[in-house]
Amino acid sequence: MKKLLYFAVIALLGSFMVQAQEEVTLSAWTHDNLYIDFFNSRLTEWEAMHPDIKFTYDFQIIPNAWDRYLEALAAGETLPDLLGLEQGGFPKFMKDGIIEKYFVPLDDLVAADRSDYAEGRMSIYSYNGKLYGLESSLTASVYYYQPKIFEDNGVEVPKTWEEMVATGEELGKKGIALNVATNSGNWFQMWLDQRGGAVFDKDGNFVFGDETNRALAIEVATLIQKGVKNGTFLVVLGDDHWGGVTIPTAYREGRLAGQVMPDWWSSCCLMPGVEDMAGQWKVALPPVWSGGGAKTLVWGGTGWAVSQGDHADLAKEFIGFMYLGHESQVQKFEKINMFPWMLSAYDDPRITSLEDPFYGGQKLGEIYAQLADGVPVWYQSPFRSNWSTAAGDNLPLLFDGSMTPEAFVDEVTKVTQDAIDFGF
Amino acid sequence: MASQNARALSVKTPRGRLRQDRYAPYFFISPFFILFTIFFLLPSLFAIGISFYKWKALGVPEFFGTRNFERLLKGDPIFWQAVKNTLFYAGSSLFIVAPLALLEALALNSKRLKFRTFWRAIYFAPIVTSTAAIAIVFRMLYNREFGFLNEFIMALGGMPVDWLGNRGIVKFSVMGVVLWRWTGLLAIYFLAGLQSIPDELYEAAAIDGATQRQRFFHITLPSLRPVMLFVAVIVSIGSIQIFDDPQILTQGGPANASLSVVQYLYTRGISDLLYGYASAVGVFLFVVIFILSMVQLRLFRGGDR
Amino acid sequence: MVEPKSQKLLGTLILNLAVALGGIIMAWPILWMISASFKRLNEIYTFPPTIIPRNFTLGNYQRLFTDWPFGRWYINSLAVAVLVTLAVLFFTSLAGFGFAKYRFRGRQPLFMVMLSSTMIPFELILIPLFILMSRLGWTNSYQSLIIPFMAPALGIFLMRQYISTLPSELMEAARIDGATEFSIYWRVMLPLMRPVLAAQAILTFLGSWNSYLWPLTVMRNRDSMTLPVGMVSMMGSITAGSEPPVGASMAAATLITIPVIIVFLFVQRYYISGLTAAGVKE
Repeated sequence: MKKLLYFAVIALLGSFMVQAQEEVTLSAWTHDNLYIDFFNSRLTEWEAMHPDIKFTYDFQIIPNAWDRYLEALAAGETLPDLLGLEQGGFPKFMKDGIIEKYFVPLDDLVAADRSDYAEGRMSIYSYNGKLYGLESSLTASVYYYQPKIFEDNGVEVPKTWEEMVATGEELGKKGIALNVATNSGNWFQMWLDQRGGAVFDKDGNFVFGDETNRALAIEVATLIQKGVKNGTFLVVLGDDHWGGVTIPTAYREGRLAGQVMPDWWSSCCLMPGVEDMAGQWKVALPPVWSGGGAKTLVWGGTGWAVSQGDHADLAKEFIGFMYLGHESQVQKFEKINMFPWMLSAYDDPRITSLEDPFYGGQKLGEIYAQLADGVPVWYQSPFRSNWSTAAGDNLPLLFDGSMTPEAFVDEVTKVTQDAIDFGF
Repeated sequence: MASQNARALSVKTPRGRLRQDRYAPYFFISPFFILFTIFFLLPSLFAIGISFYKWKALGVPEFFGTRNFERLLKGDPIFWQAVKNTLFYAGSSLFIVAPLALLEALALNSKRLKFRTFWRAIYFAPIVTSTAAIAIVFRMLYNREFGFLNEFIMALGGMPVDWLGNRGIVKFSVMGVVLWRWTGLLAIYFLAGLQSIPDELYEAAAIDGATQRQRFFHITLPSLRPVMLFVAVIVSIGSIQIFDDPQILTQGGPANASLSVVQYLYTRGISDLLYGYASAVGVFLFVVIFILSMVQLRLFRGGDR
Repeated sequence: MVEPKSQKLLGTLILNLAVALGGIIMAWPILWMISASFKRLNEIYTFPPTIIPRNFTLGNYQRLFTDWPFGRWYINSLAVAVLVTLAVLFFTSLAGFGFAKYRFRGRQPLFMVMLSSTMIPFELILIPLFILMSRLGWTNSYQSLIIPFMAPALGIFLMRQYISTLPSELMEAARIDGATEFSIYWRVMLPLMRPVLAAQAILTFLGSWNSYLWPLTVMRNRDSMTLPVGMVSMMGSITAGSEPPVGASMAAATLITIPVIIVFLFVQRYYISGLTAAGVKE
C-alpha cells in the first residue's frame, strides 16, 4: 500500500514535470516585416526540434531597429534576443567594441561550410576576426528595367556604366532617365566597391584618400556627375527614395526606364510601388565598369545578430536554423524572395527555374546564379558611418555641379579624417 | 500691477492674514519647485558639467577640458552651417513672417472685411495643427517631379523648382511651412493689440483731419509697440529652437543646407550618442537664449518708460 | 480729408480679394491632405488635382490600423495629453493661487526664480533628461511625457495673472467659516477660474498633442509612440508587399489634425484669450 502511494507520487510528479515545459520567449527587432514573415512560416518546424520548450515570440518591427537597440542599451532597457542589424548600422556597434561586449560570435554556425558562403556577405558583419551577423540576402544588384522604353527608343540595354551614360545622353533629351541617384553614402560606396575601390581596408584603416582609391572614387564621382547632368540619373533625395511616390510615378509616366538595385529592392520597393505594371518589367545583368572591377554591386543587407543573455544559445540556434544550410537558403528565396548567399544553393532548380510573372515570366535565378560568386568584398570600420554621413552630405553638391568630383572626394576624406582624429 | 492689487487686498483684511496657515502658500507652490529642481535645474547643471567631458553613451566619461567647445567653435563647419541656417530662419521669421502677421491682423480686424469670423477661423486653424502632419503634407506639395506646387507653376508656364533638393531654395521651403503654421499665432497677438487701442484715438484723429495712412503711422503702429516687441522676442527665441519642420521636411538636407542647431544637437546626442559634445551644443544654445532674454528684459523696461 | 468714395470702395475690394486669396492658400494644404487620404497612390499626384477623388477609397484608413498600430498611437497621444492637462490644471492653478493670494517670506524672489526658469531652453536638458528617464526606467512610458511637465512656469504665471483679479473677500468669508486653505482653493477659488482653466487646458492639450522632439527621444518602441512620432516613422518604414505609405500618411495626418481643428473652431475664444493673457506680461 505504501509502495503504491510511492509510485503514485512519482507518477504524479512525472506527469507534472512533462507539463512543466520550460517556457521561453524569443524576441527580435527588425525594420523589415519580411524577416518576421519568414520566421513565422517556419516556427512549427523549429518547435518540433524542441519538444521540451514552450515558445512564445515577441517579434517587433521598428524603424531603424539598430539605432533603437543602441538607445535602449544606453537607457538600460530590455533588449531583444535577436537584432536585425542593417549593415549600415554595424559600424556604430563596432565603436567601443559594443558588438563584442553585448553580442555573441556566430562563427561556429558556418564553420563546416564557410567557403560555400559569399565572403563579402560575412566580412561586413565581422569584428576582430569574428562573425557577428548572419546575412539575409545576397544583395547583389541587377538592372530592373522596362523593356518597352528601350524598344520604343531603339536602344540597347547598356552593359557598362559608360554605355549607360552615353545612352542616357540620348534619352535624357526626351526626358527619360535610366537610373536613379540618391544622397546616401552607402549608395556611393556600392559603386566604388564595384569599381574595385575601398573606403576602409581589412584592418579598418581609412584608405579612401589613398592615391588608388582617390583616383577610383574620382572616376566614379565623375561618371555620376555627368550622368546626373545629362539626365541619365534622376536625382531622388532622402526618404523619397524609399517610401515616396516620386519613383513609382516616374515609372508610370515613362520618365524613368529602370534602376540598378539589389535583389531585396524588388519586393520591398519596386513591386509594391507599381503593382499595376506587373509583367512590364525585365531584369538584366548590372552595368560593369569598362575599367575593371566586380561584376555586380552590393547595397544594404541585414545581418541577424544575437544578444548575450539568457537565451543566447537558443537564439543562435534559431537564426542558424532559419538562415543557414541549403534548404533554409532555398526556402528563404521561395518565401520572401531573398536570394541565397550560399553559392551551392544556386544548383537548386527551385531557384534557377522559378519564373516570375512580374518580370514577364523571366527566370531571375539564372541571372543571380551568374553573380553570386562575384559579390565584392569590402570592410567595415567604426568610422564608416562618419564617412557615409560625410559622403551623403556632399552628394547633393556633386549632383548639382557645385562641387567637382575631386573636391567631393577630398572634402569627404577631410571630414572623415577629422572625425577619426577627434574620436567621434 | 497685479502684485500691488494683491497687497492692497491683504492690507484691507489684516485679520484674515493673521489666521491664515503660514505654510499653506509654500505647500501650494512647492510642486513647481520640486519638479523644476529634479527635471530642469539639476539636468541643466548636469548638461553644463558633461559638456566638459568626452562621453559616448556606452563608454565611460573622460574629462576633456574645453576641447568640445574648441572644436565646436573652431573646427566644426557643420555646426556653423547649422548656426547660419538657424539665423536665416530667425531672420526671415522676424522680417517676413512677423510683418505678414501684422498685415493679416490688420486685414482681419478691418470692419470693411466681409465674413470676418469665417476668415479668422481659416487663418487661425493652422496654429493648432501638428507640425509633423503638416510637414509631411508640404513634403508632397513640394515634390520636385510631381508635387502640386510644381505642376501649378508649370501649368502657368513656369519652370519647376527643386523645392527640397536645391540648397539655395530649401530654406525658403522650410520657411513656407513656418509661415503657414505660425502667422496665425502671431496675428492673434497683433489682433489683441489692435483691439486694445481705444476707438477715441482714431475718432479724435479723424476730427483733426488725419488721413488713413497718417492714422496708421501715428496711432496704430506706436500703440502696437509693446506687442511688436513681445512678438519679436517669442519669434526669435522660438525660431532659434526650430526642429520639427526641417527634421520632417528634409532631415536637414540636402548637404545640411536646412539643418538647424537643435537638429544638430539631436543628431549628435541622440543618434550618435555623443552626450558630451551634444551638451556643448546645448550650452551654446542656452547662452544665446539667455542673452536674448536679457535683451528682452531691457527692451520691455524701455517699453514701459 | 476723407477719402473719395470710389477709392474707398476699391480699397475694400482689394482687401476682400487679398484675404480670400490668402485664405485659399491657407486652406489648400488641409483640403489637399483630406482629399489625398481618400485616393489611391496613382491618383494622388494627378494634375490638375481632383478634389473629390475619382476612385474613392477608404483603404488608406484601413491600412493605418492593420499595417501600423495606429489605434494604439491614438490612445497614447490622447492619454498623455489628457493626463498632462489635468495635472497642469491642478498644479498651475494651485501655485498661481499661492503666488497671487498670499503674502509670505520669499515670495518675490521665488516668483522671479520661477519666471527666469523659462530662460532654460529645453534643448539644453534634452540629453540629461533623457539619461535621467533611462535611469528611472521611464523611457517608453507615459510618465516620461507627463511628470516633468506637470507644472510649467508660464502656466503658473498665466494663472497668477488671472487669480490676482479675483476678489479676496470670498476667501476671508470662507476662512471665518473655518475652511482650510486648501479647501478655500478647491471650493472657493477654483470654480471662479473657469475661463482661465479652459484656456490653460486648451494650450496644454495642444502642446502635448503636437509635441514631437521629446516623444521622439523617449518613446521608441513601436507601441509606445505618440501620433506625430508614429506618423513620421511610417514614412521611413518599408512595408513589403504593400504600396508606399503615401495615402496612408495623409489619412494619418487627417486623423491627427482634423478633430483638433474642429474642436478649435468651438473653443477658439478661450484659446485666443489664453494666448493673449500669457503674452501680455505687464
